[in-house]
Amino acid sequence: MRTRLLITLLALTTFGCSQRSDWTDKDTLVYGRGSDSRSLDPIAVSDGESIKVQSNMLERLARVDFDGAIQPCLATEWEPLGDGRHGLRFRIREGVTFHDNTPLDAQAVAFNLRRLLRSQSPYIDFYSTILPDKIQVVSNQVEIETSRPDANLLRHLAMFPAAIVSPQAVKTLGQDFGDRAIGTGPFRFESWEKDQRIVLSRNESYWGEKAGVSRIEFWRIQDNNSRIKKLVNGDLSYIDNPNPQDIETIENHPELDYQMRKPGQEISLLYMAMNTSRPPFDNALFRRAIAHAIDKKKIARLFQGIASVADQAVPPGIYGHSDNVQGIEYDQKKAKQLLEKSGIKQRSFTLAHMSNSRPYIRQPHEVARALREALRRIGLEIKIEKHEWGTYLPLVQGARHDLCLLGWTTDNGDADNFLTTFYSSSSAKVGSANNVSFYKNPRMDDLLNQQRNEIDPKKRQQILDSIYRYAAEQSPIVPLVYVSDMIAYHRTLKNVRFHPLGEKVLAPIRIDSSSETPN
Amino acid sequence: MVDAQAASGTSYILRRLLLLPVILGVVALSTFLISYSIPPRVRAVAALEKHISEARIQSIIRENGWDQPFLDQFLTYLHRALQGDLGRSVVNREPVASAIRRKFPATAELALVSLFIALLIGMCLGIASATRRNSWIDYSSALLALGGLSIPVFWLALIAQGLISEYVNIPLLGRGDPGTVRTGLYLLDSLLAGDLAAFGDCFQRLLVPATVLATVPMAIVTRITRASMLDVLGADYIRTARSKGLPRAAILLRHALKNAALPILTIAGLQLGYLLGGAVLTETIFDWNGLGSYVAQALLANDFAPVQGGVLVMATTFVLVNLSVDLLYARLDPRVKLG
Repeated sequence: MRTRLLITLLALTTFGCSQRSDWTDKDTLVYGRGSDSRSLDPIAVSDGESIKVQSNMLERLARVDFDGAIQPCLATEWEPLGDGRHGLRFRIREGVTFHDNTPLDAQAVAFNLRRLLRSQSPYIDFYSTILPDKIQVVSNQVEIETSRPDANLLRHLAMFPAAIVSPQAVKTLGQDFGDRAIGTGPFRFESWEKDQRIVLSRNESYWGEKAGVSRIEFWRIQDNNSRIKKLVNGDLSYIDNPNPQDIETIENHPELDYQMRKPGQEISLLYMAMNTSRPPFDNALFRRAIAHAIDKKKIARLFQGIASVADQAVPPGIYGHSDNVQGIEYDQKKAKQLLEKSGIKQRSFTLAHMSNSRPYIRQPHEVARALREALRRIGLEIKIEKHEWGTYLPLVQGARHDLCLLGWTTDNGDADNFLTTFYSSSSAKVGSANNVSFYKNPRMDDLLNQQRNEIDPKKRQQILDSIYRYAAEQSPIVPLVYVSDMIAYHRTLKNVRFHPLGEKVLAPIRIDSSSETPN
Repeated sequence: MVDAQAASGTSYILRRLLLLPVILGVVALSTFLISYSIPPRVRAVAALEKHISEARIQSIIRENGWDQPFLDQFLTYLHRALQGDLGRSVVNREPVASAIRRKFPATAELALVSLFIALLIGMCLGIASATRRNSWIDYSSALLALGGLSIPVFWLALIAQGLISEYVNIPLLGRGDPGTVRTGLYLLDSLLAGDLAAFGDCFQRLLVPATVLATVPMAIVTRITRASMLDVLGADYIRTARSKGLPRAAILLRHALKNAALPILTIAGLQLGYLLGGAVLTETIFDWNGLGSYVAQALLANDFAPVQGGVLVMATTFVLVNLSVDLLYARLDPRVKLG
């Protein structure tokens, strides 16, 4: 009996069934990522890993499609309020139910918008033009009135913090709502083993086209090497952000494929900020001298094919990026002339960088060294300071740096999101600044306001172009490179596409087991 | 005499148990001091990702009481810890106590299976080396032990993972599904449920990380067993047993090994303490959702409640395991007196 048990165990251990056939049979997308989600409540988070899961469970009034266009979602149509009022009127889609079987209606939408405006969402400023007491329900419509014309209102309502969740679930679950959010999306929440796995299952009563797979498992696999090995092994069917050096492994594997956001479609920027709140970085000539001294092509090469040279602060995959603007060119002679002209004699500075990799930079120290080398050529001595992320952010947000490295990935696919972050004086509060160059300029603030209030796209683009030109002249930051993201997956997965906001919209993906390569 | 010995044993246990709160108090104070020395703003940033505002930072500081005087903070922490409340992670808001309850069995299972593998292989190799001294078996086991001690576990883990993903079809994702979770030890749970297939699946997933983790204790056990057995095999009573014509296996297992077991037990106890403390690197590489990777991840994120709670549990486990070993000592060898 004991011998038989031992033989059974050995057999199971040695000849265990193939993992790949396991997820194919179960029609499951097994997704490997670096971190777990923090919360599934859309008003509570700003981290990509939380948004990744939410985007497949929760929906908004409108959505950004794969081509970047805004399309109806839980609202079937919208129109300006008119009668001299600013804002939009949305007609709510009928016949939609939340995953807890309660119906979606205009009241539920209004409840969610008021909840968002009352919340401490990191994105609350995006909705600052909405007048809370002017959210009105008229039959099956919701009117959202704003304090001024807001060119980005619709785009912001198509962002994840404005997801519409079940009011009943919010009331019933209370604090626990973040552990099992309930929306209307193509997938519904199944389970969450914290720090390990979140499982979603297909919403069989979804109002639109049903999801291609019956289940998604989001696994946290912290180590990049481990993630790629588990993809090769067949444990996982889809991973994000493999190392660039793993491309060869994927290319040589008959069952695997990968995608990289193409040049011209990037949505992330790496930049170097100069602290304009302390001399000599308050001198625009000096800042421009530094900007001219940097060979961005050399920096891009450090990214092993996943980055391209940045000529403006807004990446090309973002609405409002301009093809009509030239960035500051690499010109050491000009840099030296400007340095001379600035009259600045100080030659020693510090460059702070984070020790860990971020979505927009995988090798911060190498980039910092390349920058030090570039600035040494025009006679500046740079001391590199490396900090852990937890201490780095307070340091740069507290204006305790000369130069620093930082990046930004889009929140809403619009240029304003980048420009306000980098150049607005409202973002330059010491201690909690996103504008870590602490650049404050009334003319720039005025230009930023103009583009925010301009509804006509052509006129708005003209304002944006003038912002890019003025930003180059002022150079509080040096946009270095646009960084691409990557995904790798099993070839049996079909319809895998990048989303322009960087979200992971997985509903169109299906598993085509007939296209498996025989072992 | 027996009563006096028993009384002395009981008082020893009592003294050790009374010492436990003191040790834990020191551990709690040390971890609290480390956490306290990090500015509240830095700790608050751990809770945030993008769009960090002063209002949010201040609200997190207030919510966690980090603006209170040191003594107030420490006493509140102790008071709550005594009630089983180890605080909440600022990253995902999960109570630390419930996270540890979920993760500790994963670490315990990995540690116990690793120790089993280490003892099984280590003792066999140690006995073989001792009985065939200076033979190729002895040299090979010495080499193996040296390798086990010198090769970094994380490197071995990466190599093992690479080889398995390339050549062997063993799943490496998660701990498997035992059906109903009763103890959190999935092998045991699947057996209790009578589900052999689930047991096999959980066993497959456990085998590689446990074997990798077993390399260091295995090397130590091999060398200790060899040394201890050599000592015993030269003793008079073994010579007597041989001259009486007892079978070789009986001499080795019944007479020699039993007497050589004490040092092995000591080292096994210490190793179990270390293993239960969380095999940080192995757990991280294999994404074993245990205590070690939990604490390491929290430390990197400046999320200190899980670090404080995790270290407290690790220290308690270490002390209790060592106390158990000491008690076993007295049980196995009547010459050992506790007191």
